[in-house]
Amino acid sequence: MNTFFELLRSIFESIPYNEDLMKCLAAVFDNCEGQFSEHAYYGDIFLWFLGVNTLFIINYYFGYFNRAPFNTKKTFFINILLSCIVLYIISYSISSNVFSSFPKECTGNNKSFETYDFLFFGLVSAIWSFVYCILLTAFFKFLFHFKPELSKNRNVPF
Amino acid sequence: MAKLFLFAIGGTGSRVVKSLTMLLASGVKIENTETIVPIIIDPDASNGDLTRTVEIIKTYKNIREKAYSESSDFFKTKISSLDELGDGSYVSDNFKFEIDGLKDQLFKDFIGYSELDINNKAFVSLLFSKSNLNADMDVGFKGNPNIGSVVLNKFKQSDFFMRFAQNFEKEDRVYIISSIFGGTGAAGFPLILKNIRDANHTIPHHSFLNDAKIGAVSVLPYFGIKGNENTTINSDTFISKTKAALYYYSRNVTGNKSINALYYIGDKLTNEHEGADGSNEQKNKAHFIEMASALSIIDFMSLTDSELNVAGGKATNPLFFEFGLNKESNEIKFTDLSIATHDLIAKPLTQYSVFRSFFENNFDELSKSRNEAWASSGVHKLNSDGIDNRFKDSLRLFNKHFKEWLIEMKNSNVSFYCLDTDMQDKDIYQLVVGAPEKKGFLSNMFKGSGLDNFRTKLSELEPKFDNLASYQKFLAIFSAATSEVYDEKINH
Repeated sequence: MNTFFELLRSIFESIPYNEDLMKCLAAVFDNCEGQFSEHAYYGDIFLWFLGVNTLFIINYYFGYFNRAPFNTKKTFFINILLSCIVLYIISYSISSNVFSSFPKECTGNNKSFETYDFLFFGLVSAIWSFVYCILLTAFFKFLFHFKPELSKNRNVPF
Repeated sequence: MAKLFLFAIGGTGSRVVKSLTMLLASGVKIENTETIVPIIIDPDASNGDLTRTVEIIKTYKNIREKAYSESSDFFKTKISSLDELGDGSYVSDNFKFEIDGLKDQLFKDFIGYSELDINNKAFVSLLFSKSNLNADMDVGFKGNPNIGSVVLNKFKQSDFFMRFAQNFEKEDRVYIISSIFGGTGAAGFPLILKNIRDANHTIPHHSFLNDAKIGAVSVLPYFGIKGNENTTINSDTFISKTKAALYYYSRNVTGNKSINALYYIGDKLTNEHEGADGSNEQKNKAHFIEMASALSIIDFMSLTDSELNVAGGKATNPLFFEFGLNKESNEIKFTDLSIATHDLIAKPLTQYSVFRSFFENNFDELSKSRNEAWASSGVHKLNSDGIDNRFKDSLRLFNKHFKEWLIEMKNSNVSFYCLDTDMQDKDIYQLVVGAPEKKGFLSNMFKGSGLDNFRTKLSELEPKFDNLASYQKFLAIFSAATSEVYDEKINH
């Protein structure tokens, strides 16, 4: 489990942003290390990340958007963009609230974050969302190669 | 499988064959045969009706040869020329029986009037007027059956008739289409019937011919002719000619049990065509009566062999039919047809009309898009990689005639206005007149409507037909999609 969280952490932190915010989101603190690992917010965000992006892609290939006139690259990328925006908002909300949810002795009195730190973290999430959506799309495209009847949008976007 | 030899005599014969071809293209089912062999008999080789019909049949054949499969209802029935049967030697590749000795001849030259002695000349003058004797054979018989009966007698000596006889098998059937009020049809029908029934031992398969199952439609007057300087045909004589012909038929066609099934059809003379003495100027507009006559062929073929029994060259149980509507109307809709006719033609004609509208207005643009799964998915594609321009041109030509046919029937005085040829794109499912597209909130939300729904339906069905080659897949997908669309989205 720890390895999984480590992996998540390395993914989210592969695009660097505010280090203190990283620690808060990973619930790793100098003063009370390990104490709040069950609150590792990367895990929460990852669940949102999986749920929202998968839902958007499934909706595109098998749900409401699985028909003309939505079988265009434009609609596909708008769909992904919406998914990224939702993740961006979720990541922003979680990260902006995370600081207040820990005791001061853990986070340290001298730590404070600016709005742009949260916005930047949201952007990191959105970028990964985009990557995930493309990978999931590639997976479905592979699936459609064998089962083309599964989706009418099987030729979109590539 | 049995063949149907379809003798189409004169301009009306050509136009009925045109209607039949349109019905077959749209998927109207004809039973007890897989092959129809049209034989068009018209001395006026450049008759506009005839040339148009021949062009339509040839286009039908081109499309079918490339694109037909068991999975498609469109273009289902094979249409063959006599050339394609038997030993393959040439008789005519254009479905027309060409009568020798008519080119640049007057009727009096044709019968060798000048070589007759004075007594025979006097006798001929009793049978034929001066204008009859001086009639130009290039443009047909101009409403004179007395001329037609002489000229068409050449048929039994022709290679064309021999080829027909050679290929006529026991289970094959014959159907003769003619009008009763003109010249060619009125004379040709009893002649052909007699030549088949009385075929002697010099004719191949004569015993099959003697006992052949023969049906015919005799089209009674249904249009008039606007008198002008281009024509000598007078529609005022149509009724009297019809009476005379019916009297003749009562003794020599129906009275002697030569025919198994005879269909009568006609209308008031409310529809007027511009008068023309044949040639390419004779290009009469399509009329509902012609389509109803074409339906008589479908009906005849649905009769069982036992209903069409023949013994010793006589039909044991001759049948006679008329056509009727469920509700008389000057503007016939699908709902005005009898249930049997409605069930036979409403779905296929609607299906083909949806396909035609899509092909004419949307196919080229959409098939270029890689996003359209129906066009660019699978092994056999329906974009320009799979469907070449030649095939598309054939289809465009056929569809142009199909549209023209519907518009002309709509514009007749007795209007057949079931399908609106202008409906397209989002209104494509609104083309059945008086029957709007079925719309439900959830169905519209999840399946879309009009063109979007149709594109989605095509993409849904595409994988099912990917085992077929591109052209066959093309017809199969459109046939299946339009069938489902008719059941699910179009009120009927």
